[in-house]
Amino acid sequence: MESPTRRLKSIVPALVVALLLSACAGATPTPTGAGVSSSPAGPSQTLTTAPVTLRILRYTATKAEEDLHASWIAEFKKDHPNITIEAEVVPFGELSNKIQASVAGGNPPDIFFIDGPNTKTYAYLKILRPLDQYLPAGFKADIVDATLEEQSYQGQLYSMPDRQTAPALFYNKDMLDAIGVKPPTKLADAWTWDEALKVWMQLKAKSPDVWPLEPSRFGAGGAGFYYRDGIFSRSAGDRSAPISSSLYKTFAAISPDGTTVQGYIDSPEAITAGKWFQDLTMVHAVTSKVGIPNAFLDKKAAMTIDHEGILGRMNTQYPNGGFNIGVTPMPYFKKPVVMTGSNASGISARSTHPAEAAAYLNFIYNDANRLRYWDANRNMPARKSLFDKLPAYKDYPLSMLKEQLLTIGAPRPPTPAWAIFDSIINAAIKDISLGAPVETTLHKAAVDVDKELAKYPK
Amino acid sequence: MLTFATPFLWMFGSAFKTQGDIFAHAYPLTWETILPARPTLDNFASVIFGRGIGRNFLNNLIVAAAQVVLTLTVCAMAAYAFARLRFPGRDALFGLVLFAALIPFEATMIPLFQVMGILDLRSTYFALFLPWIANPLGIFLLRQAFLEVPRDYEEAAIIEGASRLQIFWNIVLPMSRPALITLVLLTFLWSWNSYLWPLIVMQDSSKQVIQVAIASFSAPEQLPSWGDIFAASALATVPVLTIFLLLQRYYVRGVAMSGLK
Repeated sequence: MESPTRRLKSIVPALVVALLLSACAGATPTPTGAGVSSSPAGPSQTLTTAPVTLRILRYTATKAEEDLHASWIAEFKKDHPNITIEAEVVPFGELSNKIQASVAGGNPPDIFFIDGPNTKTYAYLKILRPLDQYLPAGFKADIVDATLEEQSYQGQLYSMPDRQTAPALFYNKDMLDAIGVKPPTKLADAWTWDEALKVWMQLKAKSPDVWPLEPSRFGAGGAGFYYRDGIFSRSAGDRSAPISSSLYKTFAAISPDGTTVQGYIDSPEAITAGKWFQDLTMVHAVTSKVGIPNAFLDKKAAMTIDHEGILGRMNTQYPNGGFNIGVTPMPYFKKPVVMTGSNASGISARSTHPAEAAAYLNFIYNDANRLRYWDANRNMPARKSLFDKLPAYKDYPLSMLKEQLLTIGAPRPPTPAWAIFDSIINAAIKDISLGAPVETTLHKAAVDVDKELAKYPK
Repeated sequence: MLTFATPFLWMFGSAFKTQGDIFAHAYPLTWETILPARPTLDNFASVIFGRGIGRNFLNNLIVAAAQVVLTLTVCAMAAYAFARLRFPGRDALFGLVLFAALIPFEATMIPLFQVMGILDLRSTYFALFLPWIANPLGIFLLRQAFLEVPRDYEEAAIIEGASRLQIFWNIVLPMSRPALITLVLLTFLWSWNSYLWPLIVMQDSSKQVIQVAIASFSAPEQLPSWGDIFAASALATVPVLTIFLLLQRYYVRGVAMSGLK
């Protein structure tokens, strides 16, 4: 039976129209003005002293994060006794459904927590409001480049970055030691994909019952999650190549004006990378065609493409200490690249209390609270200056992950049509991993994506 | 039978496993794939005492009970009207009721959400069951069953001076018990397993249903709490399995009476 979520996605185009009508129906409300006080909301913002209730929609988190959110609300209330904050919490995977329903239903919260790559979609649909006027001086310039690109639209920041991720190749050190391989620890020494494949073949020869590379744990499991699998094709490109070159297009995956992906996701380099990727399952059998939940942590796979969150998951599964885990920079074909992205939050375009909402966001995103946040989840911060305040990022392995984020991090292709782009390319990647002809599959995906891009005129 | 039972066995078995054991023996298949080698009640303790799943369980019971009772009441009365009463436009109206069953929920979700806002019912238990009590399939199922009741009984009762309500209550309903129980079963299942509507309309987590609560066990970037998920899923499955096993014989007869066979 088709899942409710999947069925909901089928009505997204209709919902887009409804949202646009909804957004256009009323002018953006102005801040309330019944009395004012000095404000941390931004350069020229003032806060009302009248009673205000801010509604927040966010995703469920770990206990440590939940506790932190509760503390923030209590602390903010102490400084702003007239502002009451009500939080609604939903499963992370349902944020999009919930946001769209609440907006279309005319009942959006003041603050949304969202998946960062969806920022442009919500900005385009006028669900979120631009934040630049509310930001403290220097805040925007401090955001990691890839994050700033991901969470901006038409030059304005639309969502505040919670944290960042940038995947790398994690490995079971004991298994690598058994074949006498010491993977590089510096980005400058990163393997090429062919070098990685040689190691995987050695691992396979040594332990046939262990998958050299874990099938993706992302998405539905197995191949077909662009955040992870798109790295293969994008690393066959080169962001420093001329913008009209096929190499640049392969890296970019979408045209600069966001109108086409033909010649980008189906470039000659992307097709070659796609064939190489297909061989992992169809020829070399170094990774499973289907998902195997928890394979790496269960020691059924020797290596995995994941982000630093895996370190926390290791601690969850093995509270008394697991196996030795190592990490090596992401391999590449032409130039290293890692996909970035994580969670974020923004202010509803229809909020009647944007200054107060901004004050709350500026409070929870100030340096002190971001450091508390890092302490709760240990994911990379999304602002450059915070790395200097976290000594853990001075040494390997976190220093290497930080270097990847700052130097080879790239957001997923920036477009308001990201969700449907993701859906189409993921299906194509899955088909390719199961043996579909690479060139025709990628070309068809490109044509299909272009049709969707056309639905989002500038 | 084995094909049907295996996922349930795996779920119940995994509920008693530690986080590290849940997938460790998934392949190749051995007895440890299903049964826990080192059984533990930690997962149940975690979801009951740590996550307070009991509250969500109770919410489901409240919503399902209300939905079953009201659905039965509304559908039975509507079905009787369509089966026995003569009024202008009856067949056309019944056609519209059947047509309503063809409209996917996703198409009505946003308007329903708005209606709940207008009625100021969002985040109440009423919002969880009220939209579903006039169930087109339930009306159809009961109408077909009521048509199977011989008219002779009703005519004899009319001669004896019985009112419509008495006929409905004392003759038609008792003779349609399998169909009524089938509707009870189906309504309970629909209500118990509902997910998207409670997710959308319920903003108060203390009134949230168990299916949404289970989905909330996973946090982004974190390892899913597999043990908690299996334990909560096992708990959530018990009422459904129990009521189905108890009422399945009526279900078969009820479907047969409705003409759906």
